[in-house]
Amino acid sequence: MQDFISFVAGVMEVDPSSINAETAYESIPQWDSLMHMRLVMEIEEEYDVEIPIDKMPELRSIAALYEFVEG
Amino acid sequence: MRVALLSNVTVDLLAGMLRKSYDVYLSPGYDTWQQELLDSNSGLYDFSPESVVVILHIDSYAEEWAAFERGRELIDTWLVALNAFAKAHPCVPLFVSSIDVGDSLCRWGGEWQSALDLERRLEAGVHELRSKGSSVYVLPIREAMERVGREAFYARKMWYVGSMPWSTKGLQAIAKVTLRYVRATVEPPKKCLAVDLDNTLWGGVIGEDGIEGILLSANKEGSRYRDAQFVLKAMRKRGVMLAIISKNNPDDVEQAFEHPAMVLKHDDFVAEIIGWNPKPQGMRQLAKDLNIGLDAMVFLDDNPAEREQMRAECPEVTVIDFPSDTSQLPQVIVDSYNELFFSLEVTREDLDKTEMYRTEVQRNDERRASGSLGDYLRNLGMAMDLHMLRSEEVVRAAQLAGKSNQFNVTTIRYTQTQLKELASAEDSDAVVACMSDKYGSQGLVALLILRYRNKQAEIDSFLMSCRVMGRGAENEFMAQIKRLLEVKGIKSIVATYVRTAKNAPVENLYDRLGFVGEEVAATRVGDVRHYEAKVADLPDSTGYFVVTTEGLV
Repeated sequence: MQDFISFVAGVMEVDPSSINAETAYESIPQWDSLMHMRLVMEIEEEYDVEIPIDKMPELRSIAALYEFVEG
Repeated sequence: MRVALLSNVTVDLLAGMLRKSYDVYLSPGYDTWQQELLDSNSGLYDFSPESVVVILHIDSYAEEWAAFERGRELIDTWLVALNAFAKAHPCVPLFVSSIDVGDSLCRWGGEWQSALDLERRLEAGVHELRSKGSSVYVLPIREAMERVGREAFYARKMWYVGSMPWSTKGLQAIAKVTLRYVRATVEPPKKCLAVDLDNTLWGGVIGEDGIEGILLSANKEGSRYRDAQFVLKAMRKRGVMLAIISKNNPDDVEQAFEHPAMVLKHDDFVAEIIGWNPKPQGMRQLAKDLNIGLDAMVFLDDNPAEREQMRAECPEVTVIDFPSDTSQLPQVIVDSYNELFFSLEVTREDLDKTEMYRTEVQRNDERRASGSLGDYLRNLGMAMDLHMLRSEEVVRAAQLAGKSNQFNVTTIRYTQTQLKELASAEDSDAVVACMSDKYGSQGLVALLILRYRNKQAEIDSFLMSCRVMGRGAENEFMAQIKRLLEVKGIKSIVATYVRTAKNAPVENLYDRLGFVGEEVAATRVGDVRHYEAKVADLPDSTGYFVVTTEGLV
C-alpha cells in the first residue's frame, strides 16, 4: 500500500506523507477531474491494468484504486 | 519563454508537460482556439506569446469528418483563423499540427478510402501562409502518431471522459515533437558532424578488405551504409557541416571514394582528418580550423573505445550512440539530426556553408603565401554592402544573433519579432553587412544595433560571423557607422562589452576601435565594461573593401 501511495503522490506531485488510503477525489486541491484522468492513465501504464470507463467514477479514493489494482 | 497552447480538444495534460520547460498559456474554455486567434482582445493577445502551438484533433466519428465536403469547409475556416493571426504576427512562430483524419468509418469494398485529401489540405494551407512571409510551420503530430502506432497513441476512454484523445504515450510523443520545434526558435543547433569511415560509412575495413571487400551497395546488406550516406548527404544539404576523422591510410580512403556505391564525395566534407593521431586531437584541430566551439561538434563512430576516449577528453562534444544492430544506422542518423541539428529555417548561407568553409581553407593558404596582412587583405578583392536590415533578411539576422558566440559584444539573442521592431522604431537602427571576396560570397555576416537617446548613440549589439573575423571588417563597419552618425549630427557614442564564456576574442574590440573604457576590465563571465567615444575618434575606412551603403548614409 505504501508503495502505491508513493506512486500516486509522484503522479500528483505532492508529498507522500500528505496523502493516505482515505485521500479521495476533491479531498485535496490537486485531485480534480483532470488529475483523475491522469491518475487512471498512469496507473494503467504502471500496473498494466485496464480500468473500464464505467469504473472510473467509482474508483475515486486511493483505497478503492489500490483494491482494484491489487484485487 | 512564453508559449501559447491552443487546441480544439482538452490539452491541459499536455500543457502540464510543456510547463516543465516553458511559461505556457492555455486558452480558457473548450474549443475556443479560433476566437482566441481572431480576437485581438483575447487572453492570447494579452499574453503576447513568443511561440504559438495549435494542436488540432480530428474526431473521426463526428459527422463533419465522415462527409469529406464538410471536412474541407471546416479546414478552410480554420485556415482563416490561422491566417488572421499569422498576418498580425508575421514573426511569432506559429506551429500548426498535422491532422490524422483516421480510419474509423465503415466503408464498403469499392469505396474511396483515402483521408489524405483532408490531411493535405490543411498542410497545403499552412505552406501557403508560409510562402506569404509568415513564420508558420506544420508540427508533424500525425507523423509522431505513425511512429507510435494509432492504437497506442490514442485513448478512447479519455476522449469520452474528458475530451482528451491521447494516451500517455501519445501525449509524450506530442510533447517531444512540440518541444523540439519550440526549442528550435531559441536554441542554436549543432554545426558539424564528424564521422568515422570504416564500419560507419561502409562495412568492413578498407585497409584490410580492399575495395572489393567492403560492404557498400545499392541493395541488400551493403545498402544500410549507402542509406546512411544518403541521410548524411541530406543533412549536408540542410546546412550541417560534415567532416571525416578516421584512422586510416589516405591512399586506401581514396580508393573507397572511387567505389561505385559511394554516395558522399570529397566536396561534401568541410575537412578530412585521416591519419593515426588520437581522435580527440583531430576533433580539436577541426573545431579550430572551422572556428567553432567544441560544443557545436558531434561525433559518429562505430568503435566504442573511440567514443569513450572522445567523451573523456572532449566532454563538450556530443557523441552519438552507435546502434549495435547496424540496420538501424540510417534511422539513428535521422534521429540525431532531429535531436541535434534540427532548425526551422535553412537560409542560403546554410546551403553554401560547406563550400564557404572549403574556400576558407584556400584563403588560409593564400594568407601564408602573401607577405603582410595588409597586402593579403587588399588582394582578397573584398566587398562590403552595408544597409538597414530589410524584412527579407530578418530570418538570417535572427539566426546570426541566435548563434554568434565569439564576435558578439553583448550576446543579446534577439528574435525575429524584436529585430523587426528595432529596425522599424524611430529611436533605433539595425544595420547589417553582407560581404564577398574573390572566392565567393559570405552573405549577411554582421549586425549592429544602434539606439539613440538625447543626441547620443548607443551600440546595443555588435556581432559578426566568425567566418569573417580577422579581416578588418569590424574597422570598416565602424568607419561606416561613423559616417552614418556624422550625417545624423550625433557627436558621441557609448558601447558595452558583456563577458560570456565565449566572447573573449572581442574583449578589447572597442579599445581598438577608438573607444575609452572603464578602468576595470571585464574578466569574469557576466562582467560588464562600459565604453564611450567621440564620433570623430572612430576609425576611418580601411581601404580593404569596395564599400556600398545604399540607403544607409
